[in-house]
Amino acid sequence: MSMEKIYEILSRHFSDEESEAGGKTVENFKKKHELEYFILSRLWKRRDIHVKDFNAAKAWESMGLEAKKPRKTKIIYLRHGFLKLAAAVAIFLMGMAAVYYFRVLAPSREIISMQTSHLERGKNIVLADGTMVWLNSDAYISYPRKFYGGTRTTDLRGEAFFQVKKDPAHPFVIKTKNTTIEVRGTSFNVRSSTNMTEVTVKTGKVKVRNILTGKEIMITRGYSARTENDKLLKFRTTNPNYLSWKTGYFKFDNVPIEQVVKDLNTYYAKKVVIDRKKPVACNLTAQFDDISLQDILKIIKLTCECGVRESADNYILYALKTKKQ
Amino acid sequence: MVNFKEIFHSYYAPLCNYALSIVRNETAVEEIVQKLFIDLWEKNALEKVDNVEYYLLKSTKYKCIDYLRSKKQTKEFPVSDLPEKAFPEPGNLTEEDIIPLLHYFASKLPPKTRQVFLLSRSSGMTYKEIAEEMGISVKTVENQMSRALKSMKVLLKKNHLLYILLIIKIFQ
Repeated sequence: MSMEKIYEILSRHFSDEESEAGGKTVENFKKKHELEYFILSRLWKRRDIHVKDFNAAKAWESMGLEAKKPRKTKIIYLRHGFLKLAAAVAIFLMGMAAVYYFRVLAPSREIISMQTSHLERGKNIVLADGTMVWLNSDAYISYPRKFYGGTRTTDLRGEAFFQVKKDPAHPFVIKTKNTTIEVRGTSFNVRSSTNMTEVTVKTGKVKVRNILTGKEIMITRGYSARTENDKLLKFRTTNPNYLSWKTGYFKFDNVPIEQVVKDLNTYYAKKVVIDRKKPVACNLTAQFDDISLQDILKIIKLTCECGVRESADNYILYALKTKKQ
Repeated sequence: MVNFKEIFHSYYAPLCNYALSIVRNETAVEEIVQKLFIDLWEKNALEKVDNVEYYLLKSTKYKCIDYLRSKKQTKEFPVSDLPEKAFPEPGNLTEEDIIPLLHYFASKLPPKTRQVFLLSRSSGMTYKEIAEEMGISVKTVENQMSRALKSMKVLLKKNHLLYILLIIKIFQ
């Protein structure tokens, strides 16, 4: 079989355009050229590739390299007054163009980055395309002042909620340390650390890709995806409070107190802990709609029949001695 | 030196696309690549190079990193995003290393082949959909795709170093 034919069959195979005749050839190739097969299939995967037309001819002219060769150098002597004036005007105009460029055009390519402090949360940003982002505390985002090219790309560290403006022609892409998240127009939460990223969808569809392996999955409302090292997992969203850090709304349906405390700590600055020596054992069913932590603790105190004491950094829940088992 | 102009013309746009997927700023990218070529011209450096393509890719990557480093001081870029080394250590080749190469590759394809390749690999269309979109036969789509695959193989073979890096990564 000719080499050309093999390329044809292989490219069909990598593009998932299977033909009946090709199966055997592919198997043979795979056996004989295992490495090549692996590399090509990895490269041939679907990805967003946007090729810009850069004008080489124009660039070549503007570089003026040929003029740099000594023997081709031309020296223009400014003998006449008006030529001098023309040169002065030309230089002035170039200066103006530079000012215009740096003042007006260049800022549009600016990258803006934002870092929230330890206490700041729910900071709301509106991106150039109308997409809304809410940053949790200790989060970092960078994005261009104006989007250009095929995708709308942002970088994220930490946790944020996105409400992406619909624009099917320009996919919205969020990059974390280990994951690429791609959407068309939806809302979802992203929580990321150095080697873990968790995405929870509120509305619409989100594509999550593990950068390390290139593996990707699609998740919809009610689902979450987590990438950790080379893993990529999809699971039902079980915690209804994944957005509480932003909304302050909590819903607990027979939830163990340890989890309650964990969820509350995503929103309130002063943390709640459980006394290790006198642990509280209790399941809570309650809803809190952005009320003060003191009020929540009062309710917990009554329902769980436990004590609350306050230290400089924490509220501590502890079991009362008199509590019946 | 006629050669230099030819080299510039065939590599300028692909290298810009390569750099763009790292630096993500069109103006900066053109400056980076042009400056690279000006340096090469002034030092007459390409004369001594065996593998021009590999040399250009590597140098472009270095220049991109320099650029990102300089931006780091003005706090435009997240510090953690800076690639540590110009070319990945064996075994550390990630999607981020592959993507610039793919942009380079796609940009180097002849226009028609590129269009077919991008419709298939980037837009995810089937051969039949591509044929309809471009008003050509499925057979032509097939030919263009196999041409793309062939040039990808050539690119890998010619730049044997990349090839080796990829192998080590996958089979580690």
